[in-house]
Parts: sequence; C-alpha cells; structure tokens
Amino acid sequence: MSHSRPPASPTPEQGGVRLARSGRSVPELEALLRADPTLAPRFSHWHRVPARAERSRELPESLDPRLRDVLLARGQTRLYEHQARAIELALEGRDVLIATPTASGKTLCYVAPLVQRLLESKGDARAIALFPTKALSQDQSTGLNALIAALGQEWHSFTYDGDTPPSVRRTLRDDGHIVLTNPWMLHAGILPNHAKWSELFANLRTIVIDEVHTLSGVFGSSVANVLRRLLRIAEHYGSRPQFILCSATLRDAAAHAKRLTGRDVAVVDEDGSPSGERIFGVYNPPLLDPVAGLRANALEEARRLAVQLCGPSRQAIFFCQQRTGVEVLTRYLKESAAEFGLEPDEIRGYRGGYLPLHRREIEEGLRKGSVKVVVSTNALELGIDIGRLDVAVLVGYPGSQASFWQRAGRVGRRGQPSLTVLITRSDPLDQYLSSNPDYLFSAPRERLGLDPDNLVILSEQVKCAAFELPFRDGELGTGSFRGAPHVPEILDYLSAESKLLLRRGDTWHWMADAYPAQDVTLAGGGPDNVLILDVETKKAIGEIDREGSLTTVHEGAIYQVQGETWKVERFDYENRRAYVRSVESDYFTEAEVDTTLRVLRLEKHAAREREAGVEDFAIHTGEVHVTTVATQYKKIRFYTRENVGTEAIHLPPEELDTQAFVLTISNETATALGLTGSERGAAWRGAGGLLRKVAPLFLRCQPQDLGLSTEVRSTHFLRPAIVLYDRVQGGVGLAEVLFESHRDVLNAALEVVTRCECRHGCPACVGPRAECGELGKTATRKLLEHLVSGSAARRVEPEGVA
Amino acid sequence: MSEAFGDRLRRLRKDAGAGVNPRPVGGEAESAAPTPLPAWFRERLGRGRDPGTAPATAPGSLGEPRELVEFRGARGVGTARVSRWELEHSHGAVPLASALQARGSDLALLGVDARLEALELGRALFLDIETTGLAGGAGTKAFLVGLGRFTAQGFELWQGFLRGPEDEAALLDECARQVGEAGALVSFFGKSFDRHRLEDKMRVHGIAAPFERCLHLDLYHPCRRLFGPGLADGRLATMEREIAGVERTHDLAGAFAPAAWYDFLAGRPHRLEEVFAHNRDDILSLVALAAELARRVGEAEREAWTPERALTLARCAERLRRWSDCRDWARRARFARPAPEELRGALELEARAAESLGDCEALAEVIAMARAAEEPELLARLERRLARAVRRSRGRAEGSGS
Repeated sequence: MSHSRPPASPTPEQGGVRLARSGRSVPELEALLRADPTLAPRFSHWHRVPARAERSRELPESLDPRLRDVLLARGQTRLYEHQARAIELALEGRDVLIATPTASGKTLCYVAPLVQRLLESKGDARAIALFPTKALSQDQSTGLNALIAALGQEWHSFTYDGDTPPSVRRTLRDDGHIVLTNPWMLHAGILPNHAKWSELFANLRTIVIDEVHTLSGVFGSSVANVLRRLLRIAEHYGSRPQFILCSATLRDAAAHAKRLTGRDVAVVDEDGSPSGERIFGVYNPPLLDPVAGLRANALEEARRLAVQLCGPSRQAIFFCQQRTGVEVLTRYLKESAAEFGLEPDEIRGYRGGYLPLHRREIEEGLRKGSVKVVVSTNALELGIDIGRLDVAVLVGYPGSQASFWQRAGRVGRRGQPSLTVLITRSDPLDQYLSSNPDYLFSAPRERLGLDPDNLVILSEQVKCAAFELPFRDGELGTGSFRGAPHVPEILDYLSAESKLLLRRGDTWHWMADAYPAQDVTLAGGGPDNVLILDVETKKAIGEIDREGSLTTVHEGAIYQVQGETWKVERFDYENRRAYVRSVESDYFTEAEVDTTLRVLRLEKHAAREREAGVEDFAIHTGEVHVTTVATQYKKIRFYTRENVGTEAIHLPPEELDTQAFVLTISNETATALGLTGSERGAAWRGAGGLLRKVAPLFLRCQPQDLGLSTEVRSTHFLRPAIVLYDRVQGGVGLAEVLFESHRDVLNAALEVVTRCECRHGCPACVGPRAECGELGKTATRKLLEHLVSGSAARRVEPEGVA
Repeated sequence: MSEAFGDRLRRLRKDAGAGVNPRPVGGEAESAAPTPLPAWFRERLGRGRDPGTAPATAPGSLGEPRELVEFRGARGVGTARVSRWELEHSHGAVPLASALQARGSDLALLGVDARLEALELGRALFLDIETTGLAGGAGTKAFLVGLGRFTAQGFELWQGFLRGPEDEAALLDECARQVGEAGALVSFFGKSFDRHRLEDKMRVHGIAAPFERCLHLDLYHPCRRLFGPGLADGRLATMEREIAGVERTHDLAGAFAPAAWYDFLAGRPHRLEEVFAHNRDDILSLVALAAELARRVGEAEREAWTPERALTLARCAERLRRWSDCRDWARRARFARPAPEELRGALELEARAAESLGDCEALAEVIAMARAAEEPELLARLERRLARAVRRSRGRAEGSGS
C-alpha cells in the first residue's frame, strides 16, 4: 500500500538516498549531530545513561505449577527481579504497585497472580482490570486469552467498553472471568447496574489498574472515588479484592497508591529489565533575534533535526504538545520525505480524534516497521503496543517529569542504544530546563496531585454511590468512604436541599427518577464532544471536546488531519456537529478568545503593609465567574506564518464558575514601581502570564489548566489585579495551592526573568515586546523583586463570621 | 471542620439567589462576608433532581393508601392491598373467567415457546410493577408490585406496596416467594422490564430470584406480532383497546407514578390512589388480553383472520416445528384473499409443513395453487420439495415393508 504511490518529489537519487541513509546506528547519529557545525552548538546538554544489565531470577516458588509450565513452554525460564518480587507479593495477598519504566514487563506482574487466582478457585475467581484507553484493554485481552488457552481453560476475558454491542453484554456479564474495561465504563455502566454483575462482585478477587500515574488531577481524584464505590459494592456482595497497580516511575509512589485506593500498598520500583545505553540531548533552538529573545520555531527545528534523525533503517517518534502541532509537523515531514529517503506514507500523524480503525492501522505499521516516522500527541505516551523505536524527539517539554520519561521510554530496543532529543521552546518552563537540565535526570521531583476528598468531586461521587446502595450511618466509620470528610453533611444536603435522597432512620435512600452517573463526568469536562463530519461523505472524521471546539471548528476554521486540510463550513453548536469540506489550503487558522471575569466571593486573604495602614500587596482565594468568547481568527500561511486575513467568529460564550487565586497591589505600590502610564497594562499582563507559566513547577498541572485575567484597574478591587483561575468547573483546589505556595511561584518567575537573555521581553519570559510593551520585562522584574523581598504577606482573618 | 461545613450549608440556604452580583469593595471589606457553599456547587448537587418531586399539581390524598394490610416474611414486614373480583366480572369486552379456558398449546403458539404448553392461566401470576424510573440501575425501585391470580372464588389482586425504601427486602422476598410458588407468569413487556427490575433488586438484597425456572408469557410480543402493524404504538393501552375493547377513563400516565410515591414519602398530597388503580387496570388487562388472544387462536375456525395475522401464526408454528398447525395457519392465510406476496409466503410455508409431515397430497395441492397463481420460480422450488418428500415417503414405505 505504501509503495503504490510515487514519492511526493521524485528524484533520480531517491534509491540512493534511501541506501545511503540506511544502517546508521544511534551512536553514529549522536556523533553526526555533535560534529555538525550548525547543530552541535545548539545542544546545550548531552546526557548518557549507561546500559544496564538484566537482573533476573528463577520463577517464584509460589507460582502454580500449571502456570509455571506454560511460562516455561514459552521460553520464559526466568523473571526480572521486579516481576518476581511483584508476583510473590501479590500471591501473598498484598496490594502491590509496580512502578517501573515503560516496557519493563509489567503486564506479567498482574496477569500471573490474576490467572493463579482463577486456577486456585477452579474458575470461580473474578477480576476487573482498568485501562485508561480502549485500545490498551483490547491489547491486553488478546494476550490474556492466549495465556488462558495455553492453560487449557475455558475462562473468558473480555473488553467491556462503549464498543461492546448490547446483544453480547449479557453473555459477558454472566460468563466473563476477567473484565477489561476503563474507569468511565466502571463509573457509568457497571457500578450503577451492579446487580447485573453480582457474580463478578461476589467473587471479585483482583482489581488491576494500569498506568496509575495518569490518575491525577480531577480525573485521578474522580477515579479514586469510583474505586471507593467499587469496594463498597464488592463489600456488599461479600468480597474484598486485592489491588495490583502498574505505573511509570513515580515519586512517593506508596503515598499516591494510598490516596488512590485507601490502602497501604507494597511498592516494587527497582527495574530489573535490561536496557541499552540511553543518550539524551537537550536542543535549544537558536536565538534569531537576541534583542527580542526570539528563538527559531520548535516545529521548524524538529524538521531540521529530522533530516539527520529519520531514515529507512530506523523508527523515530516525534511528540508534539498540541494537535495542531502534530498536523503541521506531519505535513512538513511528509513534504520532506524524499530528503530522509522515505516515502510520504511511511510518515504518519497520530492523535486522539482520529477514528479507532485509523489508529489501529498506524499502530500495526509501527509494530511491523512499515511506519518509519510517527508524529504524535500524548496519545502515544501510554502503553499502547507499538514496539520499541530508536529515536524520540520531544518538541517541547511535556510539562511533567512523568510525561517526559514516558515519552522517552518509547525508544530503546533490547540491548540497543537509543536517542532522545528534547527541543526546548521559547517558553519559560522549557528555557528553565535548558539551563537546569539536571532537573530532568534526577529522581522524580513531582508528586501527582490527587485529592479524592475535593468537595465537588466527592459530593458528585457520593451522589452516584447513594444511587447504587443506600448509605447507612454505620458504614461511614468503616466503609470505603470512611476516610472522606463531610460525607454525612453531603448526604444531609442531598436529602434536605437537593431532594435526591431520603433519610429514614439510619439510612439515606436514593429518591429520584434519575441516573446520576450519566451527569457526572470523571474528567470535569462535559460529555458533549463535537463530532466533525465530512459534508461530502457524511462520515465522521474526528471529534473534539466542547472547549476546544470554540477555537478549532468555528465556521471558517481550517481543521487539519494527517496534513490534510478541511474547511469548516458550518458549526451546529446546539447539536454538537461541525461540517467540514476537504480543501487545499495554504494557510491554517488561529482563533482568539476574549475572557471576562467577575469576582463572586472572596475566601482566604493575606496582605502586607507598606507602612502602617497602607497596603502593599494582597492575595486572595475566591469564587469567580468567567465568560469566554471566541472573537476572531487569523489565517496564517504555512511556513512563512504570514497573517493573510482576520475574520470574526460568532459563537455563544462559554461560562465557567470556578475558584481563583488573586494578586493585587495597592495603587501606592503601583506608582512606586512605575507601573503607571500607558505601558502598565501590557507589563501587568506580562507578569501574569509568566506566573501562570511557571506555576506548574509547584502545582503539578499544565499551564492550560490555569486561566489568566489581568486588569490594571479591576472593577472589583479598584486597583491592579492578576487573577489565576482553575479552568475546571468548580475548581479542584489549584487556587488554594497557589495561595499557599505563591512565594515559590514568585521566586521562580523572578529567576526566569532575571536569567533571560532578551532585552525587552520574549516568549521565554514575560512575552514578546509587542505584547508586554517596552517596559514589560523591567517592570515585571521590579514587581517580582519587590514582592519576594521583605516579609511575607500575613493572613487576614475574616471578621464577623459567627 | 464538619461544623464549618454545616454553617456553609445553612448560610447557603439563606443566600439562595442572592449575593452573586459583584460589588466593588476596597481592601478587606469583602473578607468579612460569609463564605457559604458556592452557587455552582448547589446546582451541581441538585442536578438530575426529579422534576416530579415538586408537589403534585392535581389535588391528592394525604397519608397511606387505603386498605393496606401487613404481611410478615423472612425479611420483615411489608404491606399490600388485596382486591377481589367475581369470575363473571368482565374487563372491557372480556369476561375474566374466559382466561380459564385458554389451552396451553395456544399460549405456546402465541408466545413461540414450547414450554408454555404447560402454562395454565388459572395457576399463573399476572405481573405488573410500578417503578421510580425507567432508566434502570440500582437506584430504581419497584414501589408497587401487582400480582393477580385466579382463586377458587374468583380473581384476586395482591398489590405489594413500599411504605418506605426500608421495606424493600420484605416486599421482594414476598414476591419471590409468590412467583416461585406459582412458577408461571403473564406480563406485558415483563421479560424485558419488570422481571429484570425485580431480579436485579433481589440480587442486591441477596434474595434468590425465581424467574429463571419460571414459565413466562410476555404478551407484548404476540400483541406486537399480530396487531402491531397498523397500530400507532405497541403500548398496553393501545393493545387492550384494540384486542379486548378496554377503554380507560381517568388513567394516570405512568410517568407520574414516581412523583406520586415521592410525594407520599415527603408527606405531601399524593396521587398514589391513581397509581394503584392504574396498576390494577394493567393487571386486569393482562388477563383479558391473554384470554382473548388464546380464545381467538383456539377458535380459529370461527374467527376472521387477515392473511397477515394467519401467516404470522403459521411462522410461529414453524418456529415451534408444529407442522400441522403451521400447515393449517398457512392455509387460513391462503384462503383469506392474500396479496401476491402473502400468497407466495403462505404457499411456501404450507409446502414446508406438508413436506415435514410427509403429506404428499397437501403438497400436490399447494403445487396446483402455485401453478394457478403463475409463480414459476415458486413452482420449481415446490416441485423439488415434492420430489424429496415422495422419495422420503417411499423410503419409509420400503423400510416399514421389509
């Protein structure tokens, strides 16, 4: 298939290029890059992780002889140390977390104990395995069924997800021994209908959760509550299942597992699998304009590196931060395919929003080796089986150490050296890492944010739990929700105010004609994705979430898939459908949004005085209402990035009620810092933008999880204010953390702005001069210096609260 | 902590709808304001709230439904209302007693289920439930379970009622006992709905569900098969009017049932009396429908059949491999002035039945019909059938002759 089409730009040398570029080893690539007079100076840092020998031992004694025979017959005579340890612990009945890097053989760590439980119980035991994506569960099902067949057993493992036809669901419920599903199905399909799964719950012995490092933030906190519900149902039917968790390397793995499951979990995190030498390069694109601090575009630099890194004899993966990045880079690389000695079809894009069949085909191409280059979002960060590749290029820091290592873990064939290149963008975080690369290669410093007791999430989940089984007073002290504060108050509230529950004696009963799980999402976002339909074929070509739809599928937008361009002809906002037509477009579109913010209520408050009775600056947490309107979009020419026109967008606003962190300075301080006059609005905005960008160093979130609003004269505070708000409806506590750690954030911001080489501000600090103004950089620096020097703000206790 | 939370809740109640407008303040003034639970939070918690929990618009009664009697079982005390009718009572155009004439073979044909040959309507339970919602899931309750049965004196309806959610186990346990004892059910859509609602809840309460080993005639399917084409919908109200001449007046729409129960639980005026009546009428309609359908099939020769319905029953007989019934119903279709398409179907079925019966004479008659109807393709197929049947009957003759 890939050879049926002539190359995009046929040259007589094509065969020659292909031949000349084959057979280059990874160390040769590194040597080539280091010798390249243009590229070499741009690598700010090289790092080598030496090859690591395998640490293994014989199959554990406690392994069932039947299982042992199957493993031996497969040639698996020894296990890696961590596998053997994890299996032993699990067989002892411990809850276990295996936290080792990608592709270290974690699957066997849960498959073996789970299957052994089935052997021991003569097929009575049941298991649930949760995977973050459908694709992963399908992969696993195939492997499990092969093992079961090898054991000569009639047990069934099956995937239960949105694609499972209703006609077969019943059989699955009654006959399935191992249910492979995802948190959403568990939440909205299985738990609310637990009676239909009573066989499963009565005999539930094992709960497997894969990729638990993805369970953080709103999603992770929701899943922790779904697990509380799961354990509650299991207890009702008389079972106490064991947890086997898998994750990437984590800091404080045991604490994370405990927050997630409520149990003390044994952690196995010493990787015994062998690894070839790993070479890392940090590539800082050249400063094009030292005064403006402008660096070469990272996507363009990725293409430049690709010329060296891509070729017919190896496989490379490029990770982009955004979907549009994937589309633009895929297009660039396909157009340069001949230079790499490749055919355009050997280069593929991959991201969420592609239809499943399309993704499966690309995954298979990667495994078989027919796809040589793949450009992906984080969609390929998780354990989808695509085999091991040779070279990874990260176009920008993915925002967390966990993601960085997951992406880097995609390369490294057995015993072979691998290369990972991080291209740092003109972004404060990236530039911080370019000058502090040790941050990347030291032990993980981030904790995953997970708060199962977040009031919003907890109360929504309590609602779902109350639907599933009545809550009794007695279980509040002993049941799976025992650790959560406020459950009785939430139950009282749900009965007295919301009228969803009825309290009778010591029990709260569900009392409404409703199915609450339907309205409760796990990730905070709504279920109302927009389907993107081709007007000609009437077929769906992708989908996009509600928030993204405002800026991606507004009428006139250029929607990109696999380097192909589609123009949005009509966006049916009400019915969540966008109609697109395939076009040859030489431009793409970028939408602008306008945000207005109202302060509804203030909560925490701290302040510092300039002198007695005169405020210096103040910080708050509070509740805000944010209205976002997409205003207009620019048409931007590919390659030149020339703006070729601007058009208006007509869409209803998106509304958000959330929590915010507010920083205000008094008018006196503003005057003293020179934050006055025409420049101050821009400078103020620059400072706010910088705070938002460095916040993830302390918040364990992505900058896009925070919204920003800056005003030089806030209508609410009547003084300059910077508002950073949680972009999740209701907020998930980011504002609180910002309030507590605001001094660290201010310090980091100061460090970035001080270190930056630009003269008047650039994207790597406060933003380009055109945006932050002539005084943006100096004003921000003065402001930050002022805020972090001297004493900290003191808490101001609210007055008059009874 | 919990004290503060309670305060927030109380403040919130006071604050409902107020205090959301921003007002400019200087410095610390705002921090003195109370910090009630946020408005969005209240909305979120209340989402999915049943609109029916608002007081009923029509005047209703207060207190418990009348004539409830307590029953006591292994899982506690529950309540039920028992009503009785004479055998001579007619529901719509159908005397209840006529159900006692229904033959098992006819019920089996209607239900396309050979096991139903053993079904005696005189010993079966007529089941219909009222639930707190149609969405299903563990939170949905059956708050009224109607079980009707024939007794020596007449017809008796037992309506088990939940005075509160705490009575659920007692009610379900009693249902399981009654259903298990009868071993036979008649329902309308009950195989898809009522049975599963009860079974699910029984599992939750650890009560052995009796349905698996129970005969079950779900009237929805025969009604739909025979009368569905040409009717606006497949609802019980439509079917009972069409088939049994039942006209309901003052019927409470089923959608109001959850609200009625919630009103009762909340101590508001409620319309449960109408729900009891609705459930009663549903059950009497089950009797009337079962009786009437069985009578029409049993007295096939005296009924006027459309070719469509006769053909439908021929197909049911075919699925049960009841070949002589299949042949007879196909013949009735053939004699009922069928459209060409229907005639082809009838002839084909009749031939298939005749072949299975080894009835070469009947087969020959069908062939003659096909020839007369100028259906060459059909004719060819039928002739092949005949040849096969003749061969087989010869084989049998030789076998028995030797």
